Amino acid sequence: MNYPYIYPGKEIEDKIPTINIDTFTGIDGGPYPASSEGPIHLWTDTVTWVQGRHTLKAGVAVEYSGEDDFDQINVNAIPGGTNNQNGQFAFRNSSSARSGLGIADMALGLFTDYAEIGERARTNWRALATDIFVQDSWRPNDKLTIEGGFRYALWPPWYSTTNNIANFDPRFYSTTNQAVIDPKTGRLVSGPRYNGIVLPGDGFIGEGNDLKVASDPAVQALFRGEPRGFSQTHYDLFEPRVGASYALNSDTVLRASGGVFHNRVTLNDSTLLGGNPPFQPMVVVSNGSVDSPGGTSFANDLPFGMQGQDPVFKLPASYMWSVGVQRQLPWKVVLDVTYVGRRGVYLQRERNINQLQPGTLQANPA
Amino acid sequence: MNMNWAWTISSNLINEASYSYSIDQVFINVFTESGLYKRSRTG
Repeated sequence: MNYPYIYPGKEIEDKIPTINIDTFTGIDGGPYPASSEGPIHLWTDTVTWVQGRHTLKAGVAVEYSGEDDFDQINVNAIPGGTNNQNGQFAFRNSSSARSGLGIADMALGLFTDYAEIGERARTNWRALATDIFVQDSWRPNDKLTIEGGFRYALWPPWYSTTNNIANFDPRFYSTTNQAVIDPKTGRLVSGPRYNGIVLPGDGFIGEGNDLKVASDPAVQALFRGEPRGFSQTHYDLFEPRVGASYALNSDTVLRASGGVFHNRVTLNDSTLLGGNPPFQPMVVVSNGSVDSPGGTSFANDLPFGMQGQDPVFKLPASYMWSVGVQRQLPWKVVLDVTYVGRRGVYLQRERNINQLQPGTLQANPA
Repeated sequence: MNMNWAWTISSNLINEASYSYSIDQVFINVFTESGLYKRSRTG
């Protein structure tokens, strides 16, 4: 197998592509080799004060951490996207432009879709997270214990130290200057490819200025003063917790508790926006020839595939509550009956924002 | 690396401080021993 890459210069030039053929098991060349490395600094301080029937605690935890990332972003939400630098072919039975049979198209060297990504980008991610808390454990008498606490978290989103990350944000997509794609070839006829792409802050920082694309005026124009992590910093992560236990008698205890918790979304494949164009372009070609997947245009007229991040990006939260009773039984057996409730909201997900909404009707179906 | 400092200020008051530093390193290569990863051979 020997076909020209759309973006020459691979980490392993001679690695197999990923190949998917309808009704057959696929061959996955995978996203590797890949690497990442990063520091984790954690400072904590806690004060404990015992006063009468109270045990009070207060503390702070500060974490400065990150990852110098040389991995490949997740492309699950990008139709036809690949995480294999060496390309991904799809041969579909449904391709009306071909024989109608994926395996036959493969023998003919005619693919339904081909995707490839360019030279991998290195992104140095960092973030500072701060948590503070106070709590009290109070025993007003020998039968009752009441515990209450309050935690506050300040978790600004991860950012790149050199601002070499990119987001697709529909707020910056100009409909008056939108890209026009030839439906037969899947190639751009007109319109700028960077429409809707935004970079963080006001410009590249430090080594970011050494990037190939840093001197491109079209790339420089993508800085719009957006937050360095693209998403909002949320200042409302309040986490009250309360619990109580009461000894009905020497064998029976009643317990109840409730609280609010948040989950800090750490770096993960869905949020590694350093792998987006213009830093690492990805293109998808339709109905082409394996002999030359990119055709003769060197991919300059192919639309990008990329992923975006919600500029609001609420952090996952859970509300938990429980009520229970514990009873000491003979033979050192304890019966524990507890109702535990938990509701989770704002959980992270990926979705294709180009997917048609339920109930969408086709115009002029005839 | 980890450092902890527990300070007993009085019989009912304690301060505990800590600092830790760690490095996360990940490297994942392709399996090269068999040579099956080469498109010039297997493709």
